[in-house]
Amino acid sequence: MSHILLYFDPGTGALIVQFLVAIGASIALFYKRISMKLKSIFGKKQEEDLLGDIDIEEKSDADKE
Amino acid sequence: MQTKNRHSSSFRDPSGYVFTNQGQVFRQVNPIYFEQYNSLKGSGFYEKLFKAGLLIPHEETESTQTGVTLKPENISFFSYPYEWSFNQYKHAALHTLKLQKYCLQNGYSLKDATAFNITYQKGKPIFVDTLSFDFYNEGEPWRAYKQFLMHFFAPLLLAKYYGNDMLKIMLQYIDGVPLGKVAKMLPFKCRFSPVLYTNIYLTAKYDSKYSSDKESGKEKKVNIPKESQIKILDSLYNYIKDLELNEKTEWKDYYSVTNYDADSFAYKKDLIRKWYQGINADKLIDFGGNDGTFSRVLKDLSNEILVTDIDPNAVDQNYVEVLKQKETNILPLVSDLVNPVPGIGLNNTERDSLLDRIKNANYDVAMALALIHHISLTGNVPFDMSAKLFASLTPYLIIEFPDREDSWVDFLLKSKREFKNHFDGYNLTNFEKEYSVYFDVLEKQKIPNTHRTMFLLKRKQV
Repeated sequence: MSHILLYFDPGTGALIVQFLVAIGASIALFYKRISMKLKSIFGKKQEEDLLGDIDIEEKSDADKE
Repeated sequence: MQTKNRHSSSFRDPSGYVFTNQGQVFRQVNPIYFEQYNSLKGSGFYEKLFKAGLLIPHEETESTQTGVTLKPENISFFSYPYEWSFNQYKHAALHTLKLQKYCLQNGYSLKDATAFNITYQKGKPIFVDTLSFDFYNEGEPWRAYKQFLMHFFAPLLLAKYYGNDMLKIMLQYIDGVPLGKVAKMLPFKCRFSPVLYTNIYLTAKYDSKYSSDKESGKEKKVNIPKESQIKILDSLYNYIKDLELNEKTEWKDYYSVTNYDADSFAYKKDLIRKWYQGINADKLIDFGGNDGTFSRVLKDLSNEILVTDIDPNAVDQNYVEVLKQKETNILPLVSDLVNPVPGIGLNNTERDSLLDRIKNANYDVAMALALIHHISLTGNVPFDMSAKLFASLTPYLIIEFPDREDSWVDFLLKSKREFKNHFDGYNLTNFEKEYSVYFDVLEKQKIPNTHRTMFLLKRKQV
């Protein structure tokens, strides 16, 4: 259905590879979690976060979901 | 439909197009996109995106069977990826990932992720392509994944390893940097990062392996659970957010080594404020504005300030300041006034030249402080040519002229070595004479204890 709207080539390989990329992502996220833990244990000072987090903080009226 | 004044950049996506009517930008939605459009509107997702500051807000002005017309919020100045500093580029990339994750959580997916869909408005990146959203079908991989890598990830990685200039690479590769090329260019050690190995090397390999597999229906089906796709987005987000660039440029700490003592500095600031208010300006372009120190003197008096500088680190420092202070009326931009960004793409109008965008944005006044000696002595641009350039851009000009005794000018002249006397024409008298061809001198003021003179000029009616 949505194929008509696809006006550029997403690259078949780039779709298939996402399966493997997700595995790499899991490894990276795992290490990130550990390093964050270690940082908080050793009380390393966090820099000011100017670029924000990936997750959207939904306003209270959006709780209905 | 054909009679509408279609925007020169809007032809790639059949879902609709952008057109202008009496200076106002509109977006036309074609019937082919009605199903998606009605869902996005009906489910309240558009509204959520506006609230979250992810998508440029719009209102529907007309709806017929042949098309829906949307009026998006006006974007005062449209900046392009190759004009952003490192943190601006990063922020735009992160914005796209954030948007895609939010889409997935709400049953949609971005069908494209070009860097030209992001621009800066009110001190933040904003996504502008209202018709880039499609339904998400469970298990479907992200179709815009490769485009995201080519438009955002590749230039950022190249910049990390080879410097700021790499962020201009989209001027050459308007459709993004080919991944095979990026894989070849990156240092060998990058292979050992799980994020880079998978997103760049493996993706480049798979992309070329399946490059002939185009026929619809015959393509290999692959099932990627939503959680896996979110993991990809999360890990790219973390990785990009932590990216740092290690390149020093000559202008860092510029103001600590300038020709000013504190009194002269304050004098100059007061003068600028007085003149700015005198001509009732509220839209400023600051050429060679460095980190925005002098633009900020006019911050509370201005609706909009565009600060350009050739030094990407100064621009980046400026952007960090914008974020820290949550400033909504300052836009820093990397630009070289003697080699401004040209128009590129179809007919050279798909992405407009910098000078055209400046002219169309109707700034009240331009500021060129401590710039003319660089244009004239480093760029070798004669006074009459720089005067003509400035006169083509804004009706007023606040310009500072450092005379030959100024230490910076002296340094630049000395660097001309045996050609030094070719630049004898660089002096206050000649400057005023040549600029008076294009401008009337409204004010002229020497800054005490310096060899610098400030001018407020008004463009002559031609």
